[in-house]
Amino acid sequence: MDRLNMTTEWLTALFLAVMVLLIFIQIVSRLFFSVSFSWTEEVARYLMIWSTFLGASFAFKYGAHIGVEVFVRKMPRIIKNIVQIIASLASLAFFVILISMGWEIIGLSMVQTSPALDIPMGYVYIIFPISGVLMILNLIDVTIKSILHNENDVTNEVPMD
Amino acid sequence: MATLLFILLLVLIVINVPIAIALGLATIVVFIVAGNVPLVILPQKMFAALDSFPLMAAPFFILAGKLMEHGGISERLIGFAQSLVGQFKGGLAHVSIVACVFFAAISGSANATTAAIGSIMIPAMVKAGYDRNFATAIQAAGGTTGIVIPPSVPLVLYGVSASVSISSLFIAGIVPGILLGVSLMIVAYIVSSVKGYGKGAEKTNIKRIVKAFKESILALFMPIIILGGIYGGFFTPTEASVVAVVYGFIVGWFVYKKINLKILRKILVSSSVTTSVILFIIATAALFGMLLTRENVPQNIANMFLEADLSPFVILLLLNLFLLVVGTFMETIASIIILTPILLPVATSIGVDPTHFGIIMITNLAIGLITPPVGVALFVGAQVGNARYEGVVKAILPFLFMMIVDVLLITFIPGLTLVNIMDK
Amino acid sequence: GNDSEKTEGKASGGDGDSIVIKVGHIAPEEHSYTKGLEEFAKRVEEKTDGQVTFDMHGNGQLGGEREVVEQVQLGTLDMTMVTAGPLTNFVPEFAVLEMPFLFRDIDHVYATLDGEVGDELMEKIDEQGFKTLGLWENGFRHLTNDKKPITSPKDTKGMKIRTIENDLYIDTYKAIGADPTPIAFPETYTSLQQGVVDGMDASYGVFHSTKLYEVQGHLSEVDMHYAAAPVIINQGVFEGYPEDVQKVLMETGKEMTDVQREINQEMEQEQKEELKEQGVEIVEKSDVDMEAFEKTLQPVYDKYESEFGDLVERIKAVE
Ligand code: NA
Ligand code: NA
Repeated sequence: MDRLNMTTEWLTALFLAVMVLLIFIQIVSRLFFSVSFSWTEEVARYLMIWSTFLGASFAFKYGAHIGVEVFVRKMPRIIKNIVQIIASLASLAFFVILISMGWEIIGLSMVQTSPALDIPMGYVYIIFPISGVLMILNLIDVTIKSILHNENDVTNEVPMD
Repeated sequence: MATLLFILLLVLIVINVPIAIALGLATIVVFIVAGNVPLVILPQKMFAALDSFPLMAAPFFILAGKLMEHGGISERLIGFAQSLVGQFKGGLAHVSIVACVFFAAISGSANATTAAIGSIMIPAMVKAGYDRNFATAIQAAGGTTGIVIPPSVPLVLYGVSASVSISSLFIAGIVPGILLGVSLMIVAYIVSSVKGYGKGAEKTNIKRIVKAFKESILALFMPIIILGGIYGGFFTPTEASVVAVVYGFIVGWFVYKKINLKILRKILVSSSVTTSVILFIIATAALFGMLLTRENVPQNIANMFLEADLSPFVILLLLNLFLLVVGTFMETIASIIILTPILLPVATSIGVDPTHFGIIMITNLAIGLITPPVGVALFVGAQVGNARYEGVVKAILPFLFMMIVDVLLITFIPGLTLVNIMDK
Repeated sequence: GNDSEKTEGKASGGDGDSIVIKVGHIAPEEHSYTKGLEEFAKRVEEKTDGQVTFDMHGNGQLGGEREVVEQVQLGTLDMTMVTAGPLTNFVPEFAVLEMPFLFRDIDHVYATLDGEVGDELMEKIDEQGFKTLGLWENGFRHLTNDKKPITSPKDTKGMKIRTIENDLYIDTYKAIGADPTPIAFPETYTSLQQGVVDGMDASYGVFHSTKLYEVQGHLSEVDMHYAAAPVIINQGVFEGYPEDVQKVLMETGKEMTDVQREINQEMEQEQKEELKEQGVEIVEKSDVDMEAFEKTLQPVYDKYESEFGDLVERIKAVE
């Protein structure tokens, strides 16, 4: 699990850096060389979307997803655990729908091409099943750990904020 | 249908399902129940919501803020603020607020501002005899200027949801942000006078100001690059966010030498966590918003207001009250994404300019950051300042009151936000 | 993409069952799209005695142009009206209409779209899971800028022009000597205002309804691209309707083609007058050196013509 997340973290960090680079190249080449590319913005946009869905998976590990904890916090331990399992099952249901519908949209949109790169949108949508599986793995991992250790929230070395 | 949607959403949020998932799940369940829309709408809408170039300013301003925060900028800004306002009664309190305002002008987030200035100023203030809770409350309140003064991630997100020019929003936020800063200084002055904080501070002089200015010039130059670049016609607000990243990186790495490869990786990963969490909410909130639109909910709410035949004054008061209450319980960005499509039609129907409404909304939500029970800036402040949450809550009250006065001024004096120098 | 099995249940049922058609488009209220669609809705509702009604969402409420086409294809939205540009991501052949200065004048356009070539293009759209009800229009797109009146390629030399992320457009602008800069539509107004770019291309409808004239003092009627606007409905949804309803939709879509074009042409004339009052300097087509423009564009034709088989040739040959 940790190694999987480590790889995903590296990948999203890389995506973010490449996004910066692409848009910076776009600015410099326009301002100083009067040259514009048709594809820089599209690639940067798709990288942003990919890194969003990948990042949303290991965000579970850092307890970074925003939720309202006030009510759950005040419950006795047993009830809290039950509520948490219900909440996790709800999230699980969401991801299962996301994966299966993500799978479906890939098939349906192979005929549609992206505006600049002209690649089938199905390839871009592939992030849905991939990230969905990663999110489920992280969700299960975090739920089990938090119930076993009875932690209020799972916070692995909170990302600097 | 709308009732089912809101009940489901409420239940999911109460049992602590992440807001992003709660929004998506509640919506998709309603689509399943209605049974007349293929569920591929889920990935389709989530993707389309993020497929936007202006939206990219959000991750970039978050990244830029972190680079500045960890690149040695905060100390220098504090030094400069100290040279300017250090000698007034409650000197360090004023230094904190002014430093927050400076930092706000380069950071897109309130938390980053509170954390960056608070981690240095709270210990310094406690050492100088200030009450810890008061010192912490100042940083929390000062930090909220981070999202009103440009650049601001919440303003970017409002601009994207409301289809309003982000450059105009940035300009519109300047005066209200400074108003907040100045009024917080007034409160700090009164409290410090009563409690006798910070007497006998060092007198300032031009020489000291010039020296501190020179030291912090690279940091102070950043807002000039961002806003000057946009208004000088060199780049779009989205591109400006990338310039901010590159600038922050160069200053932190080559000039101040505070950033190395290890820190850079951490900054990138932590930025992508923050970004993902926000954009994930935006993606599912778009689906939620689409269901509302398909069911004509925003129009119905706007019509309800119009049919109630209330005066614009009362409607504006109600909108403010509603936003304040929401801000008290809910996270800023989620609130913007969910509420903009619902409330903006109401505001425009009584003739409020969308840019003006954006600033009203953001200021209310900024106040929400320091209102208990869910005062995010209070949590961050208490954590940074090593103070007890309950204690900080008490010390924040005078600032809270002042900011409510400010938001009413901003609401009813449109000139404060719309002194738009770019208007022809 | 065929997802008819997922959507056909929706509109099924025998005669007399009421049908609600959900329409999404990006045009504001004061646009010929909206007026055309409203008139279309009125006529269909009358002809079917209220059996069919429409739930319209304009102003991009349900999504941008690429997105609404996608929604109609997936069946999450029933119907839309969209310019040729975004449609080319689904139907590559449609990009032939994006060839610069392809048409001599508006009559040439109508003769083409209402003839064999138009039928062929509609068939291509229908192959992708849509049903085309008519080729309506957004009108010709012209060159606008805030620097000077454009009458020949000499004037566009070195001008920074906003465009979309599409190689054909970028090559077109390069060919006439300009610096093309892809900028997302939401950032266009401020980019023009702030001078990130000097000009763009726009139809009268868009130029007027999005207030671009506030930041663009010149418009040259060069008829650069013709923006056709197909009205499309999801095929599975369409086939799920009773036959008489299908017939009414097809008929009305066709008869409205002329009506909407007429509405659009009339509005363009009104908008043109209003723009003049607003101080926009308009260069008529007769004052533009069209031959010089066509000459500079030969390399673009050499590069792209083959992509469309014999379509370019056939369109040019239409009388
Ligand atoms: Na800021
Ligand atoms: Na709050």
